[in-house]
Amino acid sequence: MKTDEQFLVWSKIERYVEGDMEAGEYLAFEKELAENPILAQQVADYQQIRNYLDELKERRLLRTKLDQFHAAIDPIEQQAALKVYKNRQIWRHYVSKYLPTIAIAASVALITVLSTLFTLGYLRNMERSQQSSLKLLRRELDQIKRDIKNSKDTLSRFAPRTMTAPQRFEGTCFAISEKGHLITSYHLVAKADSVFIESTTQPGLRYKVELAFGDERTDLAVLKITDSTFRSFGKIPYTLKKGTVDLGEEVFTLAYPKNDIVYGEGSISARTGFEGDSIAYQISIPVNPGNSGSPVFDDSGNIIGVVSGKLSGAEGVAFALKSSTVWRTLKDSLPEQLDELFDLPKQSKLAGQKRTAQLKKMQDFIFQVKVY
Amino acid sequence: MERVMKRTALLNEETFIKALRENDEAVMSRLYKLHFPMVLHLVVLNNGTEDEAKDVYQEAFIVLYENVQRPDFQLRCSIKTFLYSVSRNHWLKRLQAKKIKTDLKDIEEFIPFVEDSVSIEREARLVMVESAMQRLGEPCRTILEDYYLHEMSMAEIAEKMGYTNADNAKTQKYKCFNRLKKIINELK
Repeated sequence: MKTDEQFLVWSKIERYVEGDMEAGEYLAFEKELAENPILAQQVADYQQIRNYLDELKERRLLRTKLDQFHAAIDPIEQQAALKVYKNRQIWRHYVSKYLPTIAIAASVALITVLSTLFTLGYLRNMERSQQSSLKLLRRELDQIKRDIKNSKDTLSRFAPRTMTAPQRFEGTCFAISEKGHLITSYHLVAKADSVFIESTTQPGLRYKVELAFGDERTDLAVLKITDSTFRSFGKIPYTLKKGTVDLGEEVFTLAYPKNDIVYGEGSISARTGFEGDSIAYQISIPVNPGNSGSPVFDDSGNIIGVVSGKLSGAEGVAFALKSSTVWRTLKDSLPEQLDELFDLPKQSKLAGQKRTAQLKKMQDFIFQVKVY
Repeated sequence: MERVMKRTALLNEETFIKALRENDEAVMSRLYKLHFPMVLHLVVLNNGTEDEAKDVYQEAFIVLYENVQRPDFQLRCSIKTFLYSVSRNHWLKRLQAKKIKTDLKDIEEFIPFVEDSVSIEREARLVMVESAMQRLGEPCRTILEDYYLHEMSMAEIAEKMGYTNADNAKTQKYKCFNRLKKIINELK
């Protein structure tokens, strides 16, 4: 076969494989292929080389793309990412080199400490003292209840039982309107059957009150006297500060942690309460169970907070709901009744007076809450 | 908004796989950038240069890319681990070829990754065809590359190479094709 002829055949094969043949030529060529194995082999050879070249084309395109990706890498970013790996490497190296030593040292130390503590019997005490959680300040009467039950059990063998509901706990509240509205802690009265207020500064005073408003989130409750014998508290001397106070401000409380009114003083030690709670202050006043709901006053006799709880296991750490939050909560929740239930003078009438005089004037507006 | 969505979507492995399948260059570029520092650190830590790291990483990226194109392929680990494992193998091979004996210091977890026969044959074929093209010499190499790889028309090639017409160029291409065939048969 001459080269020209071979070239013509090859051109045909090329057109056939590349799909450049017209229908008639294509069919004729297919027929020829079926009959001519040599031609069929030539087509297969062409096809193979063509496939090789296609593969090469794909790969080169991919390589070009990868080079473009590579060129697009920001060298600064790359350095930063590399640094992360290097640092990790250093750390791993350090750990693998020194970990056995550290581990041995640590276990020796641990064993020493534990055995010492164990011998001294400290472990038990430590467990107990470390339970530093928020404990609400209601007077737990469980022990007393148990005692009463025991004596009752003894007595019941001899005498018929008397029917009185057990008193659950006590706290403090303070008046905010002449007509008988008072503020206290919601947790005291949340599940109460009945609530009474009493005062040791006005012997014989005892009124029945009802929950007028309660908010679990802020632990704020408003009580209203429902007794028909009640007339008025008279003019209230203190007011409620609508803003917040500064760190270190000297403050004091009047409360009923026992069956008598008790004075306590301290200062604002943090602008946030338990675990960073922003609606409360941390105050450094020794508070006891029964302090819940008692007012916190500043020097001029403005109420700046309501005692809500203390941190058990830490002395002198107590929390008070901010007066600003009290005001905002009531304003948002009870906008229509606000004037009625919130009836305090615009300015404290106690500013500039001696503390003893202040206490004398405010004590008649602070009451013991008894919950049954 | 669209931009934000695209960014968060990038964190997803499936999105990367999809991008590789669909040749989404923007996403592929991000994937490339994401894991290069890892391989760069590996290679540099084990007596290599940045250029060598680039080569090894691109080889691994190609293995990933080509595996993902297969419909039956299932990635059994994260893309990161895959790229690391393949890069690591390739770097070990290069170190062996350089006759450098070293305990490879690893910086990541890896899976024992063995490339399958399909990939190995393809790589061997590509090396063979590439060297055949080199041996072909000019003007054949340019003519075949322009026609088959760059998809230029015969008229364009005739003009570029200085042939009087497309038919002359075609005859030349035929000769070149035959020569390539011959070289490939010798190399096989």
